[in-house]
Amino acid sequence: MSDPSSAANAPNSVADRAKSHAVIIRTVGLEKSYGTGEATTYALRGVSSVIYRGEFIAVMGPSGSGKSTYFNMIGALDSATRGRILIDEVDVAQLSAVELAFLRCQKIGYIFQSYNLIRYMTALENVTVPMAFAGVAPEEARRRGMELLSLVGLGDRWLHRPIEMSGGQQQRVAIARSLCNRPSILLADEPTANLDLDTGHEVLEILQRINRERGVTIVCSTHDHRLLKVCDRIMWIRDGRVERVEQSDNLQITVGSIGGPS
Amino acid sequence: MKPIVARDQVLLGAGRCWQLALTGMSYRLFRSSITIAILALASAFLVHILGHGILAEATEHSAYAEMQMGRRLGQDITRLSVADSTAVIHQTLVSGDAQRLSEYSGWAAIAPPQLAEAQASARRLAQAGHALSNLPVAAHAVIFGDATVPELFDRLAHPEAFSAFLRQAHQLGVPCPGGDCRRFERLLMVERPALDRLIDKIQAGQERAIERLSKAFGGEPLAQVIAAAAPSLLSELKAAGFDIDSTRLLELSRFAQRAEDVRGVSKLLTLPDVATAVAHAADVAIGKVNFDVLSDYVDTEKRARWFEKILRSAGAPKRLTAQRLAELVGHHRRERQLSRAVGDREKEPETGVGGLPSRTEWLVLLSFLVCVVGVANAMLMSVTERFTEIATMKCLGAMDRFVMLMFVFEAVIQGAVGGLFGVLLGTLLAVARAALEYGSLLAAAASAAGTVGLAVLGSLLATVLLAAVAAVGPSFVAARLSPMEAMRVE
Repeated sequence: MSDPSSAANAPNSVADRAKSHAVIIRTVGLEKSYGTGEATTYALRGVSSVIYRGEFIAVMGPSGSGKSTYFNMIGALDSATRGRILIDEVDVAQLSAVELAFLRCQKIGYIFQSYNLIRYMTALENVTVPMAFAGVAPEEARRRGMELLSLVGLGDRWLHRPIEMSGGQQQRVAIARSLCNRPSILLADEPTANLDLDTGHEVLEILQRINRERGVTIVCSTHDHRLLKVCDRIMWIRDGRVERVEQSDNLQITVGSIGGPS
Repeated sequence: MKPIVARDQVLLGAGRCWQLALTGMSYRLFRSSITIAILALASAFLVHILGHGILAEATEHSAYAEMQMGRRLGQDITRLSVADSTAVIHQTLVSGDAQRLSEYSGWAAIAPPQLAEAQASARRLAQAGHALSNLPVAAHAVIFGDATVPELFDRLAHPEAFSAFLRQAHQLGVPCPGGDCRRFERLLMVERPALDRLIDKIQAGQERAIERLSKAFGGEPLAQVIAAAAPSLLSELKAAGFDIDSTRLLELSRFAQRAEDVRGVSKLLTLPDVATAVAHAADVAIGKVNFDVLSDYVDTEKRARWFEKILRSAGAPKRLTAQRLAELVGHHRRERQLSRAVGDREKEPETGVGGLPSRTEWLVLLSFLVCVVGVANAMLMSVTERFTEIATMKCLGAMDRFVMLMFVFEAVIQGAVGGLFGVLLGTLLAVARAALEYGSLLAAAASAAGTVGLAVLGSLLATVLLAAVAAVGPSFVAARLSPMEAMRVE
């Protein structure tokens, strides 16, 4: 179960508390390069990592570190130059386009930095789009969409369009959308980067609640140090390699030196 | 925790794709107003060209028919004083105009079987002439020289000339008309002279009938007799062997009367007093005053009364009242309108498929091509603008097929909306232009409304198709977009 490349990936007592040790995402010697020959540039230089079922993991790293590339890979959005990505022990490279679409639709939920709501659709319509792709009947999709919108505290704003909502509200709609097909994994790409402290905090709380109550694995790339308090583990990426992986309990983080609710 | 199993994604049916494409269509329609405008222009152009062509065709066709009727009346009056020409009799035998044929057989005392035989010969001759004049250019030059068909037939009636023709035809590989040289020879040597004799007999008979008619009315010009509608006219005509019934005679006499009156008024217009008055009123040079000028000027009742007074003082006959004048002028104007409409038609350049001038066809084709490019470009811009949206949809599980369909459907809706506007605009333009060109004559084109409707429907379909075709490229680009684009931050 443990990954030979990184001792820190081995399960320990903290992770054990709620997790079942089952690996949900595993990468083996993941490499991604662009160009050929002399001009080859490496985005990832052999990343081997393990993400356990039900955990909340933060991926941190400066820009240009290969963090985004790693993120796209484990989200089955991009293919690796070398190495393997296994999502629930299934090699993503082996999947057909139709199976990949199924994976993205039903098993992984995506949350984007700039929310990526569809401009001309209402909150409810935005939430029901993935359910339409999953073949859920419109009435059922509507019911489930309303349920999810109330879960994120926007039950009364289902008729609003993205332009009529604040950033935090938009991100909450996006979270509702990512959850609609009951995914096992939630990939959040800097979900709080565009938000102010208060709303960012709300979004994090919702994510934490989803993780706790629904057992959804959350992988979250971030610069936000408050997130470190919420997550179970932190993976640091630098220069296309995993620098270190830490338990958040072991970290001494001081947040709010400037201000903020926490 | 359920395990992650990669299964096949559900393929959305066309209905569901359609539904999703429709969501927010009002928003999209507003944004794509340029695309819609281009499509509307294209369909308006097409409908305008087609609709105008159809309306013009119908109007000119009916105008031509009406003019032919007028000409026929003139011809009928002429043949009461001048015998039909050989060519006309020949043509009548070929076409089989029952009324004239019965007149002919009366004058020349031809029995029905003889008449049928003559008709058959006439038709065979016409066919032979037709076949020979359609020879390839080189063969035509050798066989005909400078001769016309009747001249050629005259020449071939000599045995040595005919055998020379057979040799030439054999060398050139030209078959005899009808494929049977013996039959052709018989047609030229025996049937044609017999037919000519018969035609001469018919002409002589008609001349006798005309002479008899002229004697009956004391040598007075027949046109005047008809215009006066003498009571004994019908019986005299019947007695002379002309097959004219009372309704036709009434039409003829009206026509003759009108011609007589127009001639009378035209004559009066040459009088200095009248000419000066009209020239002054209509603001033209005195030397240019004629019935055309008068018919353009006298377009109200008031002016008709004004001219009546002038006529009175010039000593015109009493029957030339203001009312009669208005009638004459109105008729004359319509005739001019008709000849103008038909004149346009005769001037029209070579026509391509569907009655359209071939240049217009190119123009339509070119405009559609430009339109496809324009629409494709606008769509590509729209796709580029929506990269994030498309990529997000793909992250949410949209298949390439769905993305493609969504864009094509959107284009179809845009095509339908643009097409509807364009079709309305184009029809209005076509009708307005035709009304400007043909005026009141356009009423005759009402029967072509169905054809115009078909053109409108066709144009609408063409526009939708055009939009869909233009959307294929951009939607392909959209479908191939990587879902990774969704992660990009602007």
